[in-house]
Amino acid sequence: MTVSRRDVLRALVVPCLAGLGAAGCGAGDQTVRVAVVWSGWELSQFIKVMNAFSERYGYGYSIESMGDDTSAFLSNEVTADSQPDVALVPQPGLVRSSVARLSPVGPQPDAPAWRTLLTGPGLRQYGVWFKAAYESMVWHRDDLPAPPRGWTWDRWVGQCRALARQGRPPLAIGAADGWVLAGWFANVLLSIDPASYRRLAARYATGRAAGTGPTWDIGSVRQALARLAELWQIDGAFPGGPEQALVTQFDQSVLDVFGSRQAAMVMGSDFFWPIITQYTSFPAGRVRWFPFPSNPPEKTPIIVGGDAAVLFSRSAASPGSRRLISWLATADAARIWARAGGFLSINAQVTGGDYPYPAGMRPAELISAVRRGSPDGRAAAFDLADELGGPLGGGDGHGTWKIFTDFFTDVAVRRSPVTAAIDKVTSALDGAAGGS
Amino acid sequence: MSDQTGPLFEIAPRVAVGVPVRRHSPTHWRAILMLAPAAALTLAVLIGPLLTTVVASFTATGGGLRNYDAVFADPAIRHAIADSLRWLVFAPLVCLAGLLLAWPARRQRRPLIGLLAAPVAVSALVTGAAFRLLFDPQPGHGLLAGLGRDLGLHSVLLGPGWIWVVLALAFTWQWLGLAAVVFRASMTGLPRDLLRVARTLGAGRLRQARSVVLPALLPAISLVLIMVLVAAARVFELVLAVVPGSVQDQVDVVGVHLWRFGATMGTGESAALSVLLFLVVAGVALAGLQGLRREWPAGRRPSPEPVEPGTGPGPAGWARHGSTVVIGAIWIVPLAALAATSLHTPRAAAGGPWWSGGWGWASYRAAFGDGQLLPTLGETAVRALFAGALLLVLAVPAAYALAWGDLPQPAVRGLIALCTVLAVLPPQVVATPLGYILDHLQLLGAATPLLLVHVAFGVPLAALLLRKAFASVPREAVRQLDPAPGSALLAVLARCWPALLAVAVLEVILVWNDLLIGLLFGGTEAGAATLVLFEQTRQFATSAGPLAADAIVITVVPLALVLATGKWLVRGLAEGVRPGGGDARP
Repeated sequence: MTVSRRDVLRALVVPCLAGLGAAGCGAGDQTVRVAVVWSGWELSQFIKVMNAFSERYGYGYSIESMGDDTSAFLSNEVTADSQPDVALVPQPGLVRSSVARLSPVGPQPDAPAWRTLLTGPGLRQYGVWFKAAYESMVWHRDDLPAPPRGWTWDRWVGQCRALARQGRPPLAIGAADGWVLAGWFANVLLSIDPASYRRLAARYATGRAAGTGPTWDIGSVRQALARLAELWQIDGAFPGGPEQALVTQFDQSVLDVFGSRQAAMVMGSDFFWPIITQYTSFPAGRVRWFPFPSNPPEKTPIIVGGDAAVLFSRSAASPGSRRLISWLATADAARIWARAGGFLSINAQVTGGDYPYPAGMRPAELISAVRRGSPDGRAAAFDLADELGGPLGGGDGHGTWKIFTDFFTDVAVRRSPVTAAIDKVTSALDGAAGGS
Repeated sequence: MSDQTGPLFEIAPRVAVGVPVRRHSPTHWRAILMLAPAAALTLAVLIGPLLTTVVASFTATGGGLRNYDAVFADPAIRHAIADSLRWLVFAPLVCLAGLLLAWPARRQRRPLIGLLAAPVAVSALVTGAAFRLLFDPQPGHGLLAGLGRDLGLHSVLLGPGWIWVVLALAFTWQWLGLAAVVFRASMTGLPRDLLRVARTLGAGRLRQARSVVLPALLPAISLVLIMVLVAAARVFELVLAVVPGSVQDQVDVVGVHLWRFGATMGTGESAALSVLLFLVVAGVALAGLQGLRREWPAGRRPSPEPVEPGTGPGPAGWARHGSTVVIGAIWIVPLAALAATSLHTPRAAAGGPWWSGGWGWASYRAAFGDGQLLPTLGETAVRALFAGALLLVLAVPAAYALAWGDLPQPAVRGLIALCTVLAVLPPQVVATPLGYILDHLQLLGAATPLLLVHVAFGVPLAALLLRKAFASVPREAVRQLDPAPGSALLAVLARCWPALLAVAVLEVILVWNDLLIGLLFGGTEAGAATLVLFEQTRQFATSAGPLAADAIVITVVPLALVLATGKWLVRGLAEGVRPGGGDARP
């Protein structure tokens, strides 16, 4: 009888150990682990890019999506094996605050202004730009008249009021995504006071106040917040009311305009394009947009964003990872996704013909707006919330995202007095940055 | 079975028998050897890292109690702690509802409530996704939000405040059925004779419930309470999937907070918060253990004829059936909504409600199209199967040693308490030190440590459940064969195979459905199917179709497993709860 027990145990143990070996030998050094923020359709586009990489250079890959919890994901140093080799990070602030764990990579030739965003100690570059985005667009259908020359913020607010009075909600807004609201603030602040915008971005790059400079409780910040409140407090501004807007995600807000047509306009980015063409039956030729308006003599704001590929120092010696980093900066890699839309490249070799936009969409303008630092008569800057790191950095329920979500809730949902709501924002921003 | 002498008279001798300790040291050594493999794994993966966390909470950063002061000084953390406590208060309510649901079903021959337990097989992430889609406030999207609007409820249910209702409903959906099924199973084992005696003595219904029914159900109540409380204390995926980003901070629980902000909090502070989380969960579990220990000494299997007159197709019986049918229909809604959504093209799923047109397999094509899902399904299946097998290899000898190893009673009690505490350990608590250990061991790549971590987290509960089952085997059956050492174990195993099956199936399902452990320790290479689904949960409008398809594919396997083995699962679980007959061990 003793024998049979041993047999039973052996029968159980042997396949287990064999399984351990088999399961453990799955992936070798030839596999590059990549972490990205994209999901859904965007993720499938990136997978196309990775498949091309794999085919061309013979490296395997695995992709993990970090969702909106990038910082939680990247700072989760639980095991080395759970860490990616390469990550595509939409927040240069996060890149700069993580240089200790990153490996410097070769400089990217184009657009020096973009390079600075990823420059760390010793003036070395800690990432290369793969994807860029133009985040100062107001999208609408062609049944809404195109804005006339001399279109201003004030006239836009007037138009929104008029539409709301007619019972047509003027704006769809994905207020469930903190970065959408942070993008609104960045656009308004950049048009009101570009100088303070840049000084704030520089002073609070790590999320904590560095050196001397403006605090968040300055006139132009308060003015920008008041401007947002002016628009967000319009009765009937959002389909389903501000309560529904608060739980609406950005992709839904695009569908609200071009799918169900519950709203007239949506403020957003060039990557709204594939959502319109993939998920609605609205004809691509009838999609319109205008630049985010400002009040002259203010300049038209150009907020840009982007995803930079970074290499973790742990994987610095991995040839596949290095190869991937340099390949992601090439025009070949960019064109794969650019052709499908919702993707801009700062690589000068990617030209207008590489994009799917119809003639009216002025792709050249979009791209040059993204590539150039400070073009004619306009103010360009990187998305503020993405530039900030540490306690001010974005993330669900975190930093600037949470602060602007609270502001939206206060002014649009609760209808609190605007001055009190603004006080709350500035003290929250200063409080977080004060490191209390 | 036919012997129906009142169990009242059997209590005294059985207690007096106690455990005759024979052959002191050799038996101990055998028991210790049997405990050793499981102990080594739990020591390395759970206990060591747990102690490291405790030490770090007092020494790192500030030192002393300063880390704890810092934790309580942070309003966001206080908020998260309060939210976690709310879940712990809610869990007993779910159990109570399960009790009330089980009572009318206790005499039905084929209780429908078995189906209500099916959501246990559904991962918390899938549950979250299903409820998010159901409560989508877009007109014509979420079914329940639409119903609410028709009823004049204009609040957005996914918004601030109301979000708790959605979370509570999702949690109830997942756990109510299990509670009801286990309660029903143990109600069929009620001591009929005692009830008769109580009736003869003129005890009212309330009195009967208080002095006979409740004490008899106490072990079952404890087991269910522990399981549901542990689920409540470990709530993680549900919050991430159900709650829109703008409302996340209002329902922040400690587990999510630790994952999201652990790195920015500093080592000492996050260790202190981990320790607090652990203390709360362990306290709750130990309180439940007090109940588990009080076994009802009715020494016979329940009589096999629970159906009594009056449950036929009379009006009362039909009403009872009717109510279960209605509840069953409601219970199907979340999965039906997911399935219907998945059968729409991605565009139709994004643009319109799931009961409208636009049917097709395109969402499934999209889900499998990028080539991520299929390989991870294979890897997940392999890992789950190996975890189930390895768990049995480790937990069976350990449980046998606890049940029949003739270890001194205080030692057994201590080990059981330790197992209880470890069974409820939230993975976040040990994440940092455990990651450090895994890194420095460099075991065979990424997949093996993940497997070992899974098994280690499964060992304590498996040992508890198996010990219960083993201990219920009649003493004579074990002792007769004792001289030949291996045969006694085999005899016990042969009698307890439903419990073995239950433990293995539970582990397979836990590993299959896991997101958190994969997220913390696995990473991209380990390949977990839930991680693929988690990627999709970033956008619920444009990803609705493929997301639902992913969710359905991931759910089919554990659901089929539970439905196929359901009868044995309940028996396996209930055998650990109710006295299995004969001379059971204390």
